[in-house]
Amino acid sequence: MREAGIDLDAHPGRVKVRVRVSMSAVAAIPRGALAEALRAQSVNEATSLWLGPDQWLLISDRVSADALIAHCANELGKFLHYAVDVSASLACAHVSGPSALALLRMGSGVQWSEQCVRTRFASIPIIAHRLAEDAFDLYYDRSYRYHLDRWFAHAQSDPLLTDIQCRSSS
Amino acid sequence: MLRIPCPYCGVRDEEEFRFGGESHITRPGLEVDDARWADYLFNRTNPKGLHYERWLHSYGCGRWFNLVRDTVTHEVLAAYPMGAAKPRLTEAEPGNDENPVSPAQAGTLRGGRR
Amino acid sequence: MSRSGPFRLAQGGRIERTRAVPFVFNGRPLTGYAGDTLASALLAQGITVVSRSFKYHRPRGVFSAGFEEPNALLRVEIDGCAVPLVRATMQPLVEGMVVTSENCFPSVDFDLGRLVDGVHSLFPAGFYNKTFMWPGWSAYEGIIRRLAGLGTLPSGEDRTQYFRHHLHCDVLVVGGGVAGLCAARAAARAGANVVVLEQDTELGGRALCERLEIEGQAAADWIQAAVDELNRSGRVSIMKRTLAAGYYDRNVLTALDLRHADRAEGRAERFWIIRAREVVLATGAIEQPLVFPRNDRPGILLAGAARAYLNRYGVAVGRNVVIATNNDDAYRTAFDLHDAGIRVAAIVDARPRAGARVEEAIERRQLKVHRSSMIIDTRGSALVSGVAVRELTADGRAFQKPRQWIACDAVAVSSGWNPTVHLYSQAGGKVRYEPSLACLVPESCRQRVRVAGAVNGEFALDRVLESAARAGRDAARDAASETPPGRAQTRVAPGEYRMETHGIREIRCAPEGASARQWVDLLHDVTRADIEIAVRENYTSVEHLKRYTTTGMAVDQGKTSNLNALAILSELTGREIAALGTTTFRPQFMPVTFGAIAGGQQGDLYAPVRHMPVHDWHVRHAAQMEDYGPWKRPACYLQQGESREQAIIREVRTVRSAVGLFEGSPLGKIEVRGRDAAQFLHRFYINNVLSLQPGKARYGLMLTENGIVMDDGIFACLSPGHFLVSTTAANADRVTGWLEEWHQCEWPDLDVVLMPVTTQWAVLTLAGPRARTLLQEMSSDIDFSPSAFPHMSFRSGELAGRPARVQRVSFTGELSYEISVPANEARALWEELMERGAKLGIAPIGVEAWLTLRLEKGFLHVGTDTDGTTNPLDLGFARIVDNKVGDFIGRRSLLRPHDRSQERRQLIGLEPLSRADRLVPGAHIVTRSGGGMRSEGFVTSAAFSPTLDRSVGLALLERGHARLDDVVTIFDEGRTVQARVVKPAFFDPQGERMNA
Repeated sequence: MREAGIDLDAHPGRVKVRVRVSMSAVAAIPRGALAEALRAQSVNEATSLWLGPDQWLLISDRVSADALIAHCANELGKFLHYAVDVSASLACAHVSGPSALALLRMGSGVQWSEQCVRTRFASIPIIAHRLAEDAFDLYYDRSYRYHLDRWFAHAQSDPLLTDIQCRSSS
Repeated sequence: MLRIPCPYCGVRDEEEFRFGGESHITRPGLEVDDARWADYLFNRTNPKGLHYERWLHSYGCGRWFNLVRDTVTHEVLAAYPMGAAKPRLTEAEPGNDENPVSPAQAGTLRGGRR
Repeated sequence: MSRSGPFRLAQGGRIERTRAVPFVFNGRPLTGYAGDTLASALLAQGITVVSRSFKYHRPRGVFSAGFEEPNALLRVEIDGCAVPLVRATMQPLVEGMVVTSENCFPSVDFDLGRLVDGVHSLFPAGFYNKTFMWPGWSAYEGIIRRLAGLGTLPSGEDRTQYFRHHLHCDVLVVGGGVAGLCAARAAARAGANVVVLEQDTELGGRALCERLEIEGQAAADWIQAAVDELNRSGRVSIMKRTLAAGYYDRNVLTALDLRHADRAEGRAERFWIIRAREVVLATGAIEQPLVFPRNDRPGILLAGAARAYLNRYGVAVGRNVVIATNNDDAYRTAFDLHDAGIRVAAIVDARPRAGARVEEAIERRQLKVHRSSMIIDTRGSALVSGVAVRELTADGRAFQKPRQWIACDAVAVSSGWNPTVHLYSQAGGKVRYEPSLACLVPESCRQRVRVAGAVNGEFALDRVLESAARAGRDAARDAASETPPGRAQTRVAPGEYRMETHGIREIRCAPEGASARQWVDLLHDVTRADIEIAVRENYTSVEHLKRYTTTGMAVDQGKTSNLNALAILSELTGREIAALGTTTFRPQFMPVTFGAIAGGQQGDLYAPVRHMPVHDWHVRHAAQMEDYGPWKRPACYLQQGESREQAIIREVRTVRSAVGLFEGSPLGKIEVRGRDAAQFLHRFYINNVLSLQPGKARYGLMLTENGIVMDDGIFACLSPGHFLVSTTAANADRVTGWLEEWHQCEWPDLDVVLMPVTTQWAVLTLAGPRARTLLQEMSSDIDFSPSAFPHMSFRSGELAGRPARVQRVSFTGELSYEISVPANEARALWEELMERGAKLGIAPIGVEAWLTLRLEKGFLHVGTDTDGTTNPLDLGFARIVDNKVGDFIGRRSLLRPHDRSQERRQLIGLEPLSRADRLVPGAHIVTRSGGGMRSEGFVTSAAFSPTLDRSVGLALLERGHARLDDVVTIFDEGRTVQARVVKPAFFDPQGERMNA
């Protein structure tokens, strides 16, 4: 692991389930059900990240994929939806430390102030989960692991980041 | 670079989106003649001024939506979901800034389906 | 004499005299001070000739003290890393820097290229267009290209590191001069997050170069206080040595950050993309020169620059200086020089008298002023040694009285200051010539931008402070308000702060009568005579003039020449400058390296590379990894001593005779779920989807709406209302997007949910006669017997303790199973299959063998065997299309007469008549017609078939379907091959093997 706190293989056992609801059902789902509750809030030992008006990513370190899928069926039973275990396709990169924000700003022009944002980062699609001002989980497609590794290695060699590190430690 | 207001995610950079050409084009059935079919396939308005067009927020929420953009100034005048009715916007003369879409008007466009 | 040069004054300036900085210029070791620019260090050393001009190779000296520099463009090398055409006026002096003049051979003081200058009358404007007509441009191009161009590219690898950063802020202030600092301060006080960009290494702008007081403080103290306040606020980020270069739509600006460009431990350049809610441009103004005969001599420079070298760097530009002006501002130079003990030989003023306070100051200092006069000639060997002055007639259009020579060693010239409106214009802002100020001023802009200070034609300090504070305050206020999409308001630049200053008289050029050249554009060597020719030949619009004479088209984009060119054009055509208009300012404001714009997205990072789940195993087993789209995939696996061709042949034979294992993970996988899933997919495929039973799979073609084949693949019915769509690897994203697009935009009423799962599932494909035997040895709840699991069916269950989806489909013509398992299980299953298959003769198969196998079978590869004109009828799918009931995407297009024509290019197979002949993809099938050849189509795929021991190919051939058994001629790079047209199924045409 490098000094700025990048772990491309964070939370290896984390379960990820992607759930998608038919757009016709989106308006009908009552508030307090998934639609609102899932917007980056922890429910039943799982966290849900908003991916779009009709889809969420449920993540959990304690509950199985099957349990999360069953949870969706409970919450969304009467609406057309599909919940799929995507644990094998999404890897998680944890980025933290005083230069984390500056580093992320090298990859995407989003504001990084929202709790959850889906964007193009380092030329690939990612789902970013903001845990704190200087700590982020980035969910990325595992096929891009090598690319992301090279990208972070390059970005971290920017002397500007070293300056930020130095300033924060002094 | 354009900054595009996705109706679901807010303003994002153009590179997160994919352009989908003119919107509000009706797909004809099999029974139309070749000329009508060719018109559907190939002919677009290409206006100087307000253009109603489709965009996909491909790196974001994955939703298609409509945008009204001025092809002269690149200003975005409205963004509204797929299936919503075409907002009535007036073509502004250069220097004439009347009739901008108010936030209230833009709001009523949301959630509508065809 | 100071170690840092004979022209360094004993005191004054902001340089650190205790820190000497050694550097090398054209092989000479020299010394300057920390705080020097390269230009100030050279001037201190008395180095007057720093470069040779672009076209005539004339000697040139430092002309300015900023980014407008047209002459001192030098090659700068720090720690072996060279950058060409660096503006010496912007480059901080760095220890050990090696500096070389450009554009001269053998040396800057004696340049052979100067020969061109001796025959300059042969090279007027439009010279190239008129001269190199016969026999054609290409005959001359080589020689001219060698002579042309500026600077030399460094050889070898570029060791500079490039980075891209994104930034958001409430208020972006461009320019860290007095106006910029004042605006930033006001915006920060109002609570906004502010970013200040300053291209210089120091904040303060012109105030660093002037003797002045601001709000009762010395300029330096005022600047320090302002900067301290900004730093304390915690809301302001100040970026020095960062140049705003582009202003785009929606307040997006780009900037080149050179903060780390001068490090011995490795250069770094940074490219910023800044999104600002509000922008304040405080970009200042650029002083313009006067135009007179032989005005390009070294020693002639801008009056403001002379002041900058004196006040900021403690350098005298000469010991006996003439000031030439048409305004009051240049008198500051005379006074500052005089007060510093430097002799002012004379002031040559185009006006009858200066302002009252200036006149007083002249009187006090007893300076010699030539009134209503202009310089009409200069002399000197290289450096200027004297100027000739002559009096103007009252209307300024002619001269009177005889000339008078004045000795000097430097000439400081000024024709007033022109606002740096470049970024404002890039933003879409309108700019106009304001006769009362004799310069271009911003008028209005639809973007959220404000202007403050000299860029807005505000030349009086009290006005600047007032206007900048207001701009900063208003910007902060507007940044805080939410703005929905809507038509932008046009913002008018605040004209009330503008003031006619310096009492300028609009005489910029010496009138009539001079035979010597008068330089307008120093960097492109454009003279007044060139403009005269252009006008004579009727190139009288500014756009034409620019392109015909190339004035303003050099790398400085005419920062010190455009206005003078306009003035001359105005004089020659009799039209007002305001009526002439200006050429458009475009990004970049200053040259920006391509590397910086790419921001490190080069080499490995040029495009994201994707790795398959079993990647590491492939690499460890001698796979030749190659790029197939974004994916790194094994082309083949080399065994001991094998060539690539041998490996491919061995792998093909393994599949035909035993069993091969192939990783097909990049195949696109999309699940479609919902009551209307079958109906939905039925509208995409030319095939019938409605009739597909659960557990069955079908091959299908998808078309574009224009009837062109877009992708082929397998769709399987997992259960009623649940389908799995497999696409080609290349089209995985495209098909996913295609299904989404039609669902969201055209058929939202269909009740389906789409779920792309491409990378969740790895695909391991077993192919070969022993594939079933191997699977039956694995623990599984799936019955692999032929009757229970026939060709074109789908099963899901467990395989070796892992969840698995198995499709019995074949790309190779052999018995074949596509096994999908969760990607993180793929490596273990792969190894288990290899281990258990060892006794069956299993081998890993690469993409090349895989493609050869499908070619032997005659299977289609969309994108290889089809192009942007191929429809399914051309591929022989007419029966399927005709049998399908209802509409599907592209169906209507297939009803057009041309789509149904039998004259079209149709897919067929080709076998060379001679077994020894080889077919080549891309070779054309030709017929003789008249004296030449006509193409009837081309080979789309071809390979040597190890199984058939001959070359086979697929081709698109006109009327191909009706020409089976015809012999055709295939032409490739001068060779011809005779081949027979056959059905595209070379091996096992009945499909007995894959159905086994």
